[in-house]
Amino acid sequence: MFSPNRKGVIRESPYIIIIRILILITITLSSALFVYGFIKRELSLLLLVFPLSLTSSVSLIIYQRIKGAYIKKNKQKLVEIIRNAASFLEKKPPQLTKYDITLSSKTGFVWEGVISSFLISTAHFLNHSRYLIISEDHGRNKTWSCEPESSILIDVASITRKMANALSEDDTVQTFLSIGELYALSLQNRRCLENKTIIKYSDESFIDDISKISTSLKQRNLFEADLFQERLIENLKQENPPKMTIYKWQALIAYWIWLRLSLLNSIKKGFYFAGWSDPYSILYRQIDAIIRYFKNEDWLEVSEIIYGSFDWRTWIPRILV
Amino acid sequence: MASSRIEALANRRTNLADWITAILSIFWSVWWGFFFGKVIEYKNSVIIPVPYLNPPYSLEIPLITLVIINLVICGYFASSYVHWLWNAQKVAYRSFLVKDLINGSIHLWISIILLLSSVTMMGWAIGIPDPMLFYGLILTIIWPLIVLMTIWRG
Repeated sequence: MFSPNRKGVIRESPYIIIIRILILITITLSSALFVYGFIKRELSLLLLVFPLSLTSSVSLIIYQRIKGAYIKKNKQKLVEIIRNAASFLEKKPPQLTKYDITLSSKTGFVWEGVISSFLISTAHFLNHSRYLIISEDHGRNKTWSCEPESSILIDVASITRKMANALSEDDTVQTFLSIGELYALSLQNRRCLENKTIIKYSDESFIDDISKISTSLKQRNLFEADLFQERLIENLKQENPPKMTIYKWQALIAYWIWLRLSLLNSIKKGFYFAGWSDPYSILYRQIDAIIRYFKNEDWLEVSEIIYGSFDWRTWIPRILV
Repeated sequence: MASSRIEALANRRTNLADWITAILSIFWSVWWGFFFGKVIEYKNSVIIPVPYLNPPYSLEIPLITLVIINLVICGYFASSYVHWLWNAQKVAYRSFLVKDLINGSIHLWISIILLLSSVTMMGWAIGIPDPMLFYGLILTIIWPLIVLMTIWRG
């Protein structure tokens, strides 16, 4: 069974903190000495600025080296946790082995992460599904029907392949559309099982909102995509999160993981606004916590992590520009 | 459509930043020429009194040593400024790493402090008039600020 690594992320070296303090002290001191020496016209004080500034400059270069190595290690750690998730999902349920998972290995860790999040959202659905969902146009319109499960894998596998192809071509929008299709399948499966709509913010509206975001992104209408995304989150919040269906939770978590991985992927393009923080360790901790709470069905905690970090939602358009 | 508008604005801002850098560098080079002319005319070693020691001590530094230190600092300043400008221009395209911008800004700040200290020391030691010294110092400080404002709001 998949179990996130409890050892946690690579610890930040204590030297980093010492060097950071050293940099701050030397810069402050040299600036203060320059100002004071300038006002008092003291050449000897200005002379002291040289060794202090030199120390801070060298410390900063060392800091950058150590920090870079630290972030690299945590990235590897994150790859490990996502691979563990993928291998767990490959084993259970057995049908998942039929998916073309090997495609993911060609496309880097982000794509593996997206596919594993896709699998997280489908694992439960496939385990418990009794009906095949047939949709025209792969779920983007609303013509659904419920059928026996004989060929359930065909549709899901085709979406997986389509998504993997889109990922390998760096087509983020098509990837997002494929994930949206999966959400639609998951939610419709639930509706087929229960044959009723349980909640106020209906599954159709949920699918509709996600489809609108996808369409807006596809048309590069970033302003509209942002608006729809905001509406989606607001609607979900009003719905009293702990009472949401498990499928909607899975969809939301998959979407959340996808969003985070997209942000990480954007590091390569230079879009990440992390400052001195390490995005890999943050994501590692968040995924770890979400999966734990999800297993325990502690929806309040899951919702706090997801909604708490959805303020980054406006960054999606920026990534895609 | 939106992305092309953003790109056009970013191009405008980075071009403005390049032009401002080029124009300010003319004033800076002229001032630097006067400053270095004075330094070369000065033939003696530079005496730096250290009144805080007991007994008070005076440090004598050959002018050539100071000039070499100054040139190394100028090189550091030029390198950190170019790196910083490179990162700052990425702000206009919304494609920058804050990490790089912060680290670059710290390097730039250190190099400015070093440059100002070095120039002030030499200026006072060889007797350059205060107004001329202040002109160069202020020009050095406001330069990155003007460029940053241009990229931010230009």
